[in-house]
Amino acid sequence: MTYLDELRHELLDAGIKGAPARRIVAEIDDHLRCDPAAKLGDPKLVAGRFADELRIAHTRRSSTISFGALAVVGVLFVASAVGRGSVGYPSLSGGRATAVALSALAMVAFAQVAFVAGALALARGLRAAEPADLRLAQQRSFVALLAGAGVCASLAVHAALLPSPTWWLVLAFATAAVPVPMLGVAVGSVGAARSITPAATGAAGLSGDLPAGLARHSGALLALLGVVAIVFVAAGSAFAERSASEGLARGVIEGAGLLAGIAALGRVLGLRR
Amino acid sequence: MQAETLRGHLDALVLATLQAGPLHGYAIINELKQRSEGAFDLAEGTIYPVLHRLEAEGLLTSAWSTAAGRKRRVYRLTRRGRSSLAQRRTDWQGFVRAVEAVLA
Repeated sequence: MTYLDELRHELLDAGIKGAPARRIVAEIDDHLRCDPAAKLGDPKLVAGRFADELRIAHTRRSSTISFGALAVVGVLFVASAVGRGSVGYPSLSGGRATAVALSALAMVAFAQVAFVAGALALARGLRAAEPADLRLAQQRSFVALLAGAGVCASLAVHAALLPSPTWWLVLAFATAAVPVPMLGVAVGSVGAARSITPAATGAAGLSGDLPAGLARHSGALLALLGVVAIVFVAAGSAFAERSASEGLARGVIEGAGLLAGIAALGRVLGLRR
Repeated sequence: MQAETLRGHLDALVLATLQAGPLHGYAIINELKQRSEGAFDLAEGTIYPVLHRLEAEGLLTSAWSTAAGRKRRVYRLTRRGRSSLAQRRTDWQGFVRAVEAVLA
C-alpha cells in the first residue's frame, strides 16, 4: 500500500471524504513528486491533524451558513405573512378549516424553533473550541435547519389549502421552494463539520452562550425571554384581532408551546440537562 | 527546534512565507526550512492542515494551477491575511523586546 493509499484510508477514518479528501491527496501527491523522500509523517497523524485543524473553522462556517439560510427563510416567511394579512382570510369550515389552522400553527411553531435554535447555534458555533461545544453547535444547527424545512413545508400546505389570489400563491410557493437548496447546502456543511468532530459530551448549557456576568442567571434569563415572548404574542394578537380574549388565548397557546418545546428540544439544544 | 515550541507560531510563519507572493505547499515548506536555516524542520505533512485551516479562516486563498503537467495547489495571502500577519509581527516584536529586557 502506498503512502497516498494509506492517507486516503486514514482521511476517511477521520471523517474527511469527497472533494476535500481528493484535494488533500492531490496536494500530498504533488509534494511527493517534488520530493519522493519527503518526511510527511504518519498518515494517521496527518489525517488526524487535518480533522483537528479544520473542525473549528468548519463548525463556525456551517453555523453561519445555516443562520444565513434560515434568515432567507425568515425574510420570505415574513413577506408571505404580511402579504397574507393584506389579503385577509376567507371563512372556512369543517376539515379544511382545521387543516388550515394546524398548518398555520405548525408554521409559527417551526419558525420559532428555527429562530431560537439557529441563533443558539451561531452563538455557540462562533465561540466553540472543544469537541463537546462544537457538537452542540452542530446539533443546534441541524434542529434549526429541520425546523426551517418545516416552515417551508407547512407554508406550502397552508397555501395549497387556502383559497388565495394568484400573486400570493406565487409568493407563498416561492417562499416554500427558494430556500430549500440553501437549507440543503447548510445541512451538507453541518454534516461535513460533524464528520470530523469526535463524539463528546459535557458541553456547558445555556450559560455557555452568555457573557460571564449573565452566565450564572441563565435559567432566569430563559424564563424572562419566555415571558417576553408570551406577552409579545398576547399583546400583538389582541391588537391585531382587536380582541383581548383572542390575545389571551394565543398567549396561552404560546406559553404551552414554549413549555412543550423546552421539554422536547431543551436537551438537544443544550437548554437543560 | 521543538515542534511544540514552533506550533504556537506556525500560523505567523506560514503567512510570512507567502508575503512575497503565491507559493504551493512544497515551496512553502522549503521556504520555511531555508529562511530558518534548517531550524524549522517539521513533519512536512503537518503544514498542509495548517494551510487548509488558514484558508478556512479567510487568511489565505488557493487555486489549482498546472506545473510540469500536474495539478498544484497555489496559496496566496488575502487582505485579511496581510493585516493578520502585520498584527502578529507587531505582537511578536513586542514579546521579543519584553523577553530580552527580562533576560538581559
